[in-house]
Amino acid sequence: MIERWLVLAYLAVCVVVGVVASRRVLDSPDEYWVAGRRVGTWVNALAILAALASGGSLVGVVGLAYRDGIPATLALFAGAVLGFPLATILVAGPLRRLGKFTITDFLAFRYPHPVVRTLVPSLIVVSLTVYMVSQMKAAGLTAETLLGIDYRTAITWATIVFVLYVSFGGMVAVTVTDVFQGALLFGLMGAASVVLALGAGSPFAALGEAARAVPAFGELPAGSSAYLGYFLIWATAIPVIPHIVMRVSTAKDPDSARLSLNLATAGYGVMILAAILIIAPVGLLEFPGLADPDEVFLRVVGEHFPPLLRGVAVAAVLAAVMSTTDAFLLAVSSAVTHDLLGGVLARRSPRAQALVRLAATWVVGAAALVWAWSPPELLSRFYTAGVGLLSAGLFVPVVFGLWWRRANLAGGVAALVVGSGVYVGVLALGAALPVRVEPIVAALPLSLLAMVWFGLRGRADAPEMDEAVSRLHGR
Amino acid sequence: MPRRERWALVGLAAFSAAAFWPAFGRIELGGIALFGWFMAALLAGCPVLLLSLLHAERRARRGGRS
Repeated sequence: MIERWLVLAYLAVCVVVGVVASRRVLDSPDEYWVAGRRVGTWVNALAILAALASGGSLVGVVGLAYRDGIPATLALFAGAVLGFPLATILVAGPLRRLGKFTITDFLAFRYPHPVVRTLVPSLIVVSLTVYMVSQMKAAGLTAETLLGIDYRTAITWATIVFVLYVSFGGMVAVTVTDVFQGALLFGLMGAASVVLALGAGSPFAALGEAARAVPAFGELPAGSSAYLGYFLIWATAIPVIPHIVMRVSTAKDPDSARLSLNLATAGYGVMILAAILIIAPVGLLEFPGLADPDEVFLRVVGEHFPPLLRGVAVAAVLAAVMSTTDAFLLAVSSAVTHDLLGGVLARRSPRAQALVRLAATWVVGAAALVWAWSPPELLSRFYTAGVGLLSAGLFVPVVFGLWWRRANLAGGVAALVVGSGVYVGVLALGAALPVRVEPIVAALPLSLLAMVWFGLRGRADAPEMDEAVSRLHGR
Repeated sequence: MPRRERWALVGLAAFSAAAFWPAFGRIELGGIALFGWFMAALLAGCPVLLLSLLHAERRARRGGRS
């Protein structure tokens, strides 16, 4: 019973934060989308950690290791961690200097073309909605397994709560709740790892035992190249994924943006290593043969934690889900109301703009909820496929648009269309193709080829664009 | 781009590419494919590399000012 009260109290605090923040943010786009650009380094680092360490990475990482083994799972998350140096070195400083809100703002500035203004936000809406559905599944499973609450009831209430605080409190509410959620997450993973390591006698005792008992646990899946796809998707997603880009824009200056990304990487790396090397082996040894691998983490927590800590664990998983989902919801809402409808809304009153932002957030939240009532299997794979669409379409135009002098309008648009088109095509055709290939492995090189082809053969951009890009590099 | 950051990117790319060498998927250490240990090293090493890069950059900037 105490677990339910803890979770209820946590949800109530989130709503209160949203209502309080709404007084400050509703009439100011700068406050609503990027919290007035004055978020400090440590606060931003915890918020980035919380936004990245989703319910998928908490519940899903252990499930993926349980089913696909340790090496393939490590590849997915090492890709994400490799994405941070790419983000820090290649994009964080210039995007913060641009002084806008979203990744679409940058791409529309660098490649001013209607295709960019419409296709980029559309990709964001599709991709992040897929991601949100997987997060909601994690919330529902958690509530069902540890609290005994019906799956659909749980995700409906969780959705109402995070849509409420995101729609009214914007980035300020997301930041405040994410800091708390980040700390809770880090604490839970630390506590779970210590409890399990002490129980086993040493941190990696269960790892060796699990690898001996189930040799496939330590091997790469035979005949699969999926792990290469995972790695590439996440390494190229982090520099362009909208909710991380928005967090970069909330930093008080470019240096703070870079440092907060680095600190978040450190925390994320520790959490993921603990989940894969300490928690997953215990799950495999104690709960072999589970039909849904995503249940492993929750089973381990249920088995090893006393009731009070189980309540904290449920709150932490919900925190992981909500901290990622709220950031996504804000990013999708910005893609609709700022990127797609921004031109129309600019002529309306601030009150009308605020109403459209609220409505868009509720519609997106409701759509994701309906989908989440019948969710797909294996969280990590599902949301990674969604994120791959963003990597395939956006990575080359963003990075080359900043760092290659020959990048031009035609190259940027072609790289965007080819990358996203090939990814969707290969994903849809799948087994019908004569050669088995991971969608991202086909899409990224072809996107790059399109950029280089049109960059070398197409008309160069005006000199003013070169100067504007130089200013983004602080020159 | 500062030379230090350029070399860091080259090093990370080379390390990642080497980790995907097929033989490292077959050789095992402690029951885990060597590829897995390389990925774990990347998970642990990237943040350390990033923080040391930023620290060096700040030190260089302070040195430039004085």
